[in-house]
Amino acid sequence: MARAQELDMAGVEPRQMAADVLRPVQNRPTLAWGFGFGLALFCLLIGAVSWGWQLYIGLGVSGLMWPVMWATYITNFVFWIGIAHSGTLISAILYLFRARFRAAFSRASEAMTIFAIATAGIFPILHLGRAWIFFYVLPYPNQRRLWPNFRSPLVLDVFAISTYFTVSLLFWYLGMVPDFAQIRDRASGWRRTLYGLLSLGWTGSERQVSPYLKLYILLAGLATPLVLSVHTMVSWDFSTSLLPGWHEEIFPPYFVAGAIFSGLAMVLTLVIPLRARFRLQRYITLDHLESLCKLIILTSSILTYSYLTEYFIAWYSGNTYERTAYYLRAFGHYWFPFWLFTVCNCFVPLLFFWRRFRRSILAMFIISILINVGMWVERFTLLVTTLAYSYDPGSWGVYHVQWVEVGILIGSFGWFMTLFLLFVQFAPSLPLGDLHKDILLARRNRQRLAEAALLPESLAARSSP
Amino acid sequence: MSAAAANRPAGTPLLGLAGSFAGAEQLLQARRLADAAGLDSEAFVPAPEEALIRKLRPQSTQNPVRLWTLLGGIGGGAAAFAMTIWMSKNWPLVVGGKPIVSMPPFIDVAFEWTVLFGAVFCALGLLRIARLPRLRFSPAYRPEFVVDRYGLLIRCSPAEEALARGLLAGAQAERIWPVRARLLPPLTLPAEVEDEEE
Repeated sequence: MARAQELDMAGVEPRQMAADVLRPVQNRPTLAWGFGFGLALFCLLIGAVSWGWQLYIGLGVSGLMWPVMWATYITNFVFWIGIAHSGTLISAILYLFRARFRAAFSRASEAMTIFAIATAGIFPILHLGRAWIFFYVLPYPNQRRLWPNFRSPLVLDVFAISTYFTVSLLFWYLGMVPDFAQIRDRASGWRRTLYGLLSLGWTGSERQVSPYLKLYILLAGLATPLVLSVHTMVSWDFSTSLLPGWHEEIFPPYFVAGAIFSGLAMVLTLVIPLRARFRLQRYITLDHLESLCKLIILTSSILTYSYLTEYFIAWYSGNTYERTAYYLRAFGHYWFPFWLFTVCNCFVPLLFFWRRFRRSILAMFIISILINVGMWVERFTLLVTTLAYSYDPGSWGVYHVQWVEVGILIGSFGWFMTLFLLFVQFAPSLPLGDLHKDILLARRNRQRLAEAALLPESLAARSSP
Repeated sequence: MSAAAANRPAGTPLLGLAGSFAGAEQLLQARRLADAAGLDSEAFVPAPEEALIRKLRPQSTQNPVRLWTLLGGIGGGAAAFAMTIWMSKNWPLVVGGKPIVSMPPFIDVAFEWTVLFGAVFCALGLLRIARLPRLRFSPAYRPEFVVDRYGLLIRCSPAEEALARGLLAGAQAERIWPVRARLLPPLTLPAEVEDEEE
């Protein structure tokens, strides 16, 4: 019962809530955190060695070979951008709609966004081969008197992703400023200096809070269309190409829905261990997690509809190449990844229609991982099958993943988890101000119900604040 | 010398009286009383509540942050159009039969820079208007003001001290203490300051 858990917040003291949320920040890292961090660093090392080897030998060590010149690296790029998609969207849209379950996920999902963009941004550079000249794509005065081609979606990506990163970083950091002030006031020595600088001298004065609230809603309003624009431009990387399986108008909304879907799943994957490890069950409740599960059902349905539409378009167009591309996607060399992602993205989320699965932490965690797997494989299949089976059968070719690419994929997860583990240890993983507002709201609601003698007995029996 | 004395050297003029409150209602009551007495005051709130801020600052309907954002957005969009058009003309390369100045893709760049510069100027506007970052804290500030207590500083002269004290006490302030007009050293918090009066 959602309302009961919301009203239960009335019994939480803000001081206790702050102590609970800031416990990891104020204490030394635990052994479990150290183990996780070590594992993440090891994965990162695997990725670094793999990339180093590729830089030393050349792109030939990867499986990239004509006709499949975009494969796991661009898959990783699209996958991580998709993960990045949901964080700011969850936080900004739920803020604009004043959704009550926002506080449970907003901070972690914003952090997820930042780290996922930081991960995604590596892949186009890595895919260049000569990674050290990536800056050629930027518009800067140079001796060759060349400028970027602004009609290319690849250049538009640079602008979209750098803007998304900057705005998400501002939204995330400025949201944490009041919380850093709390850490500053509890810390001593160098930590007080560090958090003092990060908190910008925040005191909660009305002269600070008043413009701050206006800033926050403006940033949320700016971030929301930005989120939609980013994956739209990423989808243009494909849909502006005249290739069967890519050249479709449905791509922008289809990519956006897929990105939100994968991002929601990744939020579940990250928040469930965070909640258990740092004992935050009172603030990230089962009701909150259930709300995410319902959103996953919605986005999975949109995605399934998009998959079906793609096939319908291929059939309805009467175009042989389109029909062949889609037939081979399902029954060609890459039939296994196709059916894997279909099961993971279209059928597995249907389990959330049963309340038992929406209320089981283990089921949620397993399903979220399966969705993540499904979304990575979906991007892989989308990219590789179109390039492998384009117009002329004489130019068809099969792509095989090489160990360097697997190492770099592992490294990307290592890089992401390293950043995320640093975040949960050194920054407040829940927004204290928003939780405080939830407590005040719960107290007011509880008081109103008590005055009307409508407070449920189970709640009335609990100690009042 | 005690920490309290260090923060309050002899001869430092009185800035006003500060009080801490358990709830927002008491804070609003104290603000209303201070306004009625014609005394300037500044509130501290632990949670950024819009409804409370609107009651505390009903005159603050203007939103300078919005203006900063608008100007930043317009500037960013205009700069993006100027950049894409000029660079395309400076290196006129026909791609896919499209015009040299192809506005549809340029609109995408302009949209991104509108949002980018709007957001950056929004943040700069906050820093300017809220006078952040600050390394030195108001001596009225207490760490509890960002945790669970509301605070009000009533600026007054020594002659008005008794009146201000009466206003704070009338609004059920939990604690009341005099504040001297002196900023603390950089990054030094008044957490170590002992209570003067209960």
